[in-house]
Amino acid sequence: MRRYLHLYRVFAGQFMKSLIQSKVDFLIGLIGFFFSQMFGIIFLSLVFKQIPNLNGWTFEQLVFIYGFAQIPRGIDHFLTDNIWMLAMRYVIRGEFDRFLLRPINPFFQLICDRFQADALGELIVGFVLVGVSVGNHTVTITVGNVVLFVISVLTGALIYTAIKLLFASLAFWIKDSIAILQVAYETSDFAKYPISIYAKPIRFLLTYMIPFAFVAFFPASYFLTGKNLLTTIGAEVLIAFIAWLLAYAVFRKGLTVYESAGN
Amino acid sequence: MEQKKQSLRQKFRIYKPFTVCRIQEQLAYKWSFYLFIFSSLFCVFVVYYLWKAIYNSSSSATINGFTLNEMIVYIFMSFITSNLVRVGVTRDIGNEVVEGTIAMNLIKPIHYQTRLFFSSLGNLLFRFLVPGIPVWLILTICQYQTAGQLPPSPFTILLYLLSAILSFGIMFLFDFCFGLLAFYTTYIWGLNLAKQAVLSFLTGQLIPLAFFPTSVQKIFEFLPFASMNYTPVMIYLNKMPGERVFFSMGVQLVWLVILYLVAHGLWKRVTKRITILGG
Repeated sequence: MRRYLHLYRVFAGQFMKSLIQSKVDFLIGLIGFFFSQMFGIIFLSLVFKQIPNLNGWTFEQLVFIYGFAQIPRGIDHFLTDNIWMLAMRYVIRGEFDRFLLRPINPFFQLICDRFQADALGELIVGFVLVGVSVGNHTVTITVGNVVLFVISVLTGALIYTAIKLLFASLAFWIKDSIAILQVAYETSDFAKYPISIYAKPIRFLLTYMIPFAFVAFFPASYFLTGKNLLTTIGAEVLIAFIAWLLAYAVFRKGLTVYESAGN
Repeated sequence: MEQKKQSLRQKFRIYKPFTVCRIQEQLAYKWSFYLFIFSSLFCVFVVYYLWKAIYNSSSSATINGFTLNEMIVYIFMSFITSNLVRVGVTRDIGNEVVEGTIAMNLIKPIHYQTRLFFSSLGNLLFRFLVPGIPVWLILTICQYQTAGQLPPSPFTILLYLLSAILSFGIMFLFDFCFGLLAFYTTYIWGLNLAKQAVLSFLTGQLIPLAFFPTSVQKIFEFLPFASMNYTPVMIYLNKMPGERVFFSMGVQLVWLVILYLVAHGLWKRVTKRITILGG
């Protein structure tokens, strides 16, 4: 464990160096993600000029849900973005070899290979919006809430990671799973808004199949209403745990069927 | 690069293979393309359900002159149109600069921009077939069944297509200018993301421009973005009075000319400073 922590620090240090070297690229990516999330909020503010509330939610509450949704997404995006490479090229080009040659856990190596600084754009949007919500008393800060917030955000990120890992690991069998992963990942778009606005099949999908509703809307609604702790954040923790075990098992299974590309 | 004048017909014969090649490329990877389209439809459905909830929460049946039905047609037609006009030239140029293949392509006796244009034409044609036609058919059938709404007259559809083609041209030139940034930075993926986000907003793909405050709308009238998506979709929806249609298409033409000149000028400047690693 100590060795892994040390290694992680080394990898992170390398990443910081590359970041300093390519400042412009960093800014571009950051602005890109910042814009693509910020326009959602401008959209809402334009619409709310016409209506008093949306399905019973006020504008301020929607801003909180939207902002809250960005944080676990951003954390996962920052730490484990390299999982996309597994889906896209590591298997099909046989590049996964090098992760199997070193005496370190392959998953650890996979995520350490690259951090994704673009994700800071999402995190900034997320924290600004949550900050605004605290400022206008949409949510209140208590010790309990802060602890729950940290738990919820981290387990939410874990759900993201698990879903990504699960679909990316399919590449071990089908060589290139980028399109499937893309479809699965994009369903998280639905989770930025109250789940009650969607038709039944979509709600079912987000709750039971690809559980993005537990990453954003359910925990956010707990902070807004203070009700149903167990079925929101409690369920989130449980689901994160199960999803991770499942995804990691598939990944391990995938390692056993991995065959390198010939030269 | 200047060659002896070719007739339009000759030109077409020379560059047609680029169009065909692009279509074949898309066909070769058709499943990942279909899945990609499918996942981009998610975004549209998020917006669709948002609008439904918004109209449910509103006290009046029309918001900024749109009924719910018109809004549904608006978002799906926007999806179709933006897919048609999305050309991906930025990525083409970016890849060529990063890989250095642009050097060879500049040497060949083929006009660089014309080649890109014909490749993009392949995108346009393919996307007209998928997702254009199926999404339009499903939309039209659903509209007829749920609201008894017939599609607009063939003349309106013709005007829409004309305007969409103009949008395609504008978008091509804009994307081309934008793609030239690849000569200055190599992070095209991030650039594209930022561009895509800004465009989906300013071209009215996310929300009709009529929802913006009037002062902002005034500014938009002097920008090319409305010509890239908003104009054809509003024509399709019959939201423009007769003379306004031709005025808007005139504006599109003007932008086409302006951007053509800008692209031409930028290209001259950029190719002078190009340096390429290896070859």
